[in-house]
Amino acid sequence: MIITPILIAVVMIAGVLAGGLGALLGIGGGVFLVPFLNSVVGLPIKVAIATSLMTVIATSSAVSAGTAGRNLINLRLGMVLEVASAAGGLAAGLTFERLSERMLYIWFAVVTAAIAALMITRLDRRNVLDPKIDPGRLGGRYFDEESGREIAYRVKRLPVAMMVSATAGIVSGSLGIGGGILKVPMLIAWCGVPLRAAAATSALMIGVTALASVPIQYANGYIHPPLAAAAVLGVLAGSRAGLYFGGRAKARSVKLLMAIVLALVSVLYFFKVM
Amino acid sequence: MENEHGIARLERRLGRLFLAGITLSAAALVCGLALFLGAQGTPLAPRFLSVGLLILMATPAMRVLFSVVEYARMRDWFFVFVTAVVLVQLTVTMIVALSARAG
Repeated sequence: MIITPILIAVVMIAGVLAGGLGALLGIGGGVFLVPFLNSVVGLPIKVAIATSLMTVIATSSAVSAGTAGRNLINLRLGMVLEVASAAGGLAAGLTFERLSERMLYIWFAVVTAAIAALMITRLDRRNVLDPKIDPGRLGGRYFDEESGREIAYRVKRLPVAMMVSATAGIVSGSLGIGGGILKVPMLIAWCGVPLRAAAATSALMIGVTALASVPIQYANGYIHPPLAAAAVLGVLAGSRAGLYFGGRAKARSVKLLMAIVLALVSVLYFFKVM
Repeated sequence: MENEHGIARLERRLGRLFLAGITLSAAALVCGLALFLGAQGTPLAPRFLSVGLLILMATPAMRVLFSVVEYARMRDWFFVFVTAVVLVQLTVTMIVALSARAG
């Protein structure tokens, strides 16, 4: 492949856009970057996936550097779920050469459609308890900028969270997305974690999840360092902007925007296999 | 609770680790990309680029390693176990990647 300055510039711009949307939604942004690099830029799908996974690590570190110390990241919950998501990522990394992309696209389209529907039906549900309650071993509390109050929550249905995290890890390693797109709605809808804590915890986890597969893909030649560098730098610039606006956006509008994005991604993936 | 202080301290330290990792990595990638575009064919460009990508990948790994140590200091053995399992998983990935490169 010939890497021209124009190609590098296009990949960097794609990174800025994907990083911005990703940070705003608390997802990796790879869900935009992979189809863009593959369909618009014309990179082979596996190169697009591996490049995107590199940017997922960058998003994870950059977003976590910004949210650490604000009690938003649930370290305990994140580290427990990471056991499952890293196992999923490792499984995807080991089977990457033999994976049928068509099957994964169909499955991914179904999953994103289901999550989009779930998000829209639960737009006004808030997982907030009285701040005086004991949040338990895996729960947490943080100060919410939007309402100006302290928020406490308990984690429910941990086995479900583990299963979805493992699935998210497999999807992450095989499709080049962060996997937050699966975990965040699940943590909100089924496990009682409020949106901002779910997004911050997910952002922490996606780096390790991607790291469970990306070195294998790098070793197998799916990373072109100049393109990966351009995508990573673009995503870093974009995620800074996304994080800045993310703190000010209303939780309800962030959820609605996420649902719309999920529905669009689902349609895109359905069209890809037709 | 002493452990709550420990967790808060761990979180602040991890924040600094992420900032350092991402800054160093980005600096190396900017240098590498500038050399790649400005001075075609220089052997320094690929070196800077791969160092940048390696620092990028090392940052979350360091975070897990750091967490194992910090939870051990807090004597929270359940979380020492949990983070150690993740560290083992990442080690398996590294071994597979290195053997794929060699093979």
